[in-house]
Amino acid sequence: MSSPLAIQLRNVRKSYGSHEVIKGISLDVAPREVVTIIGGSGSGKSTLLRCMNFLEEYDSGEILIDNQLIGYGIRVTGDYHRLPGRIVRDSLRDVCMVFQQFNLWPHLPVIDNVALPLRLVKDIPVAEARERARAQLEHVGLAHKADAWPGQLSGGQQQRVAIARALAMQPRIMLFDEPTSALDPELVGEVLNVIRTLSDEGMTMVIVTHEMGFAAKVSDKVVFLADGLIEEQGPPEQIFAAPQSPRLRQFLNTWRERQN
Amino acid sequence: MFDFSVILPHWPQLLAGLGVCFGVSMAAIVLGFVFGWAICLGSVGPLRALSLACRLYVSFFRGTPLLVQLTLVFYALPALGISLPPLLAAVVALTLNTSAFQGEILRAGFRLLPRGQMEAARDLGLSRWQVLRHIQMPQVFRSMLPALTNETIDIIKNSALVSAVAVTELMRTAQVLASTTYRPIEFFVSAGLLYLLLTLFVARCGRWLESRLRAA
Repeated sequence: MSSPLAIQLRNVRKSYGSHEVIKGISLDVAPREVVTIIGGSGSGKSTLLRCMNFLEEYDSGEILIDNQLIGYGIRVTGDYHRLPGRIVRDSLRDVCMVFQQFNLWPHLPVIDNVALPLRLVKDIPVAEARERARAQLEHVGLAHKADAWPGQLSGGQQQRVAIARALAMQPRIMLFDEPTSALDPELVGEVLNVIRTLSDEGMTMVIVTHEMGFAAKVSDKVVFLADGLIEEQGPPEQIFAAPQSPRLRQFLNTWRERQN
Repeated sequence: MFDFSVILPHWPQLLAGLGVCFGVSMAAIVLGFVFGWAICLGSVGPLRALSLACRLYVSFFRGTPLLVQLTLVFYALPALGISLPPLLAAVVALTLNTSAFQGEILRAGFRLLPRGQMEAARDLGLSRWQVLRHIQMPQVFRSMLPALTNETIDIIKNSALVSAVAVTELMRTAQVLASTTYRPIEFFVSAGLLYLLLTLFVARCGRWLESRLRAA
């Protein structure tokens, strides 16, 4: 029964009211694998990612992280029941997300943005938490900004702090929700470089992105979503050089036209 | 025509009145801040019944005159067997009143916070209480500080009403002195100036705290 998969999605569905956004998606992510999810707006890619760390509750199907069902318990009768928040948080200890809007806490200096979760969640004393936070900021090239306020940083720097904040928790899986979409074009590179370093270090990652060039370089697998379903998936060479489905071809053409 | 020298021998009484006014107001503001948080958290919280109770509380204390509330605390509570000395009754009434207003101010502050900040905190593993305590409450306090300063000034001015329940604060002192000396203008102008000085002082403190929190 032991499976080597980091993340398994089994026929996951999610609706908002009567509008179904995820219509039954199954997907496997192996340890150290980098999977990028691409697709037009409204294709459900962000929602799918947010289901993986239970920021959105999925309605049916199963999401397993390291073989553990996320968010729900199964009664002896076979019924699912929603688990209390504390248990859900604990089962997602190894998963951290980086958001489009960075979501730093503006009332705390950069160093404490990184150190606070270490103190509160891992019970690490302040001095040691700050020490570890500084090391993480070093990792993303921002040790010199430790005492700055988030509002004083550029978007790219804020996103790197957000990545450091997530890394400090020593996750084994990182989820990126359009990490460069809110950035000025000249700041995109610095964030992508940090993400590439992580993939070199063997981090398991699922990345929702509009950066096709980046997806082509960094991914082991690319998943194209359309209307809440996986339209096509495969290695980046296939997806970008020899797309099978007409919708993916259309999507890539539109994207290429916009690049020129 | 006006002779402000008449107030000179009565300065100590006026200042004592100012002291009582300040003490009563500050006690009410600080206690009201604590209850205000409770009301705010109750009304934004997930428990329907508690949320409804908090909103009813706010509606009552925001929607009825302070004089009515004071009178209820001063006269109705003794009828129920709870008898409070006037000073304490004044503090209780003002606290009940300001906690409704402060609760509403804080609740507005919660709405201003971008949801993503709380999602990030949850994602990193913070508990609901930790998110509240370390992410939401400090920012709500900061952004609502100007409104809370306003509320403090309002309470100082409204505290003049507690003269109606036999608390000898600034207003009451001025009334007594005005009627014994037949010099209403002089004493009420003096009282007005003292209120003004106090509220200006509070406004300054608020500004100072704002700038300190922004730098920190």
